[in-house]
Amino acid sequence: MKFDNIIPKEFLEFNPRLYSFVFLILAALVALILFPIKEYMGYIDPFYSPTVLIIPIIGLFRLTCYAFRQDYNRHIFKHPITCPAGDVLDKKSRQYSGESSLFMKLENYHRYFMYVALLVLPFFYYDLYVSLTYTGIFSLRLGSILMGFDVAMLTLYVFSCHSVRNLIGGRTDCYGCTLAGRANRKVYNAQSFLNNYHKSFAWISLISIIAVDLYIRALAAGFRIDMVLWHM
Amino acid sequence: MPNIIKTKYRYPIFFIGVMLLIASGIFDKYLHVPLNASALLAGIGFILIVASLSRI
Repeated sequence: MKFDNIIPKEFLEFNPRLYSFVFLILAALVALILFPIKEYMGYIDPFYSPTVLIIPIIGLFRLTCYAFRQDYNRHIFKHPITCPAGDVLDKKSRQYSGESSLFMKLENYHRYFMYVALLVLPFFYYDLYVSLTYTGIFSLRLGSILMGFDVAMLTLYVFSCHSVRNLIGGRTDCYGCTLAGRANRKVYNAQSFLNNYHKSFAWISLISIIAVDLYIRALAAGFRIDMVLWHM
Repeated sequence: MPNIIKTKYRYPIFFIGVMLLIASGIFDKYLHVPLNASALLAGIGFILIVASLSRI
């Protein structure tokens, strides 16, 4: 039985970075389950919105994302180390296999994880609305600004995704042959502009979601760092 | 901006940052470490995460 078609060669090599990365993900998941803090003073934790059970799918969305794939293929698997080097600096046993392994096929399901991410986004907007109206009137609190920034970054991250680019117009062969082709082309061009910054949005949104989670945990722990900046 | 943190150190710094975050929660919940200390640990962990991902 050929294991190459099930498990990529990179997984079978001794790689402490890979083991530590897997440990990191598992530790973070266990920590999220051990220390639940779903809501505090009108701030709903994004990791628990709508439910913590959705995290594996959102995690797979990020793990199969092109931006993160480039980063972990370079820094964890060192395969390739960098695009120009290609096969020159790589091991002979790890030549390009055409993404034929089962793991690589999982990467192709990124678009389905993207659909789930699109469905989860409105919940973050609802959480932002709750944080703004928690006091009964519209009040802009420090946490709401942080959540607003996080929601904006997550929206930009999802909508700058390569799968969204394909969905919007990347799969169209001829814009002149389709209905509203010119408008479609304009939307595609606008999304392409966002797509250039997809890597930046990926990392900034990851940091901002961690920051919001830590902020809510700090408030729940008793730190008085929140303040009302403006209210109606 | 100069690239102060070498590329090969960025992932280890990221790993240590996340582990510090998780450790601060464990220290607070199970070892009853004073809140300020565990918060400081979490803060350091977060800064390490940001530093590893930034252009510093």
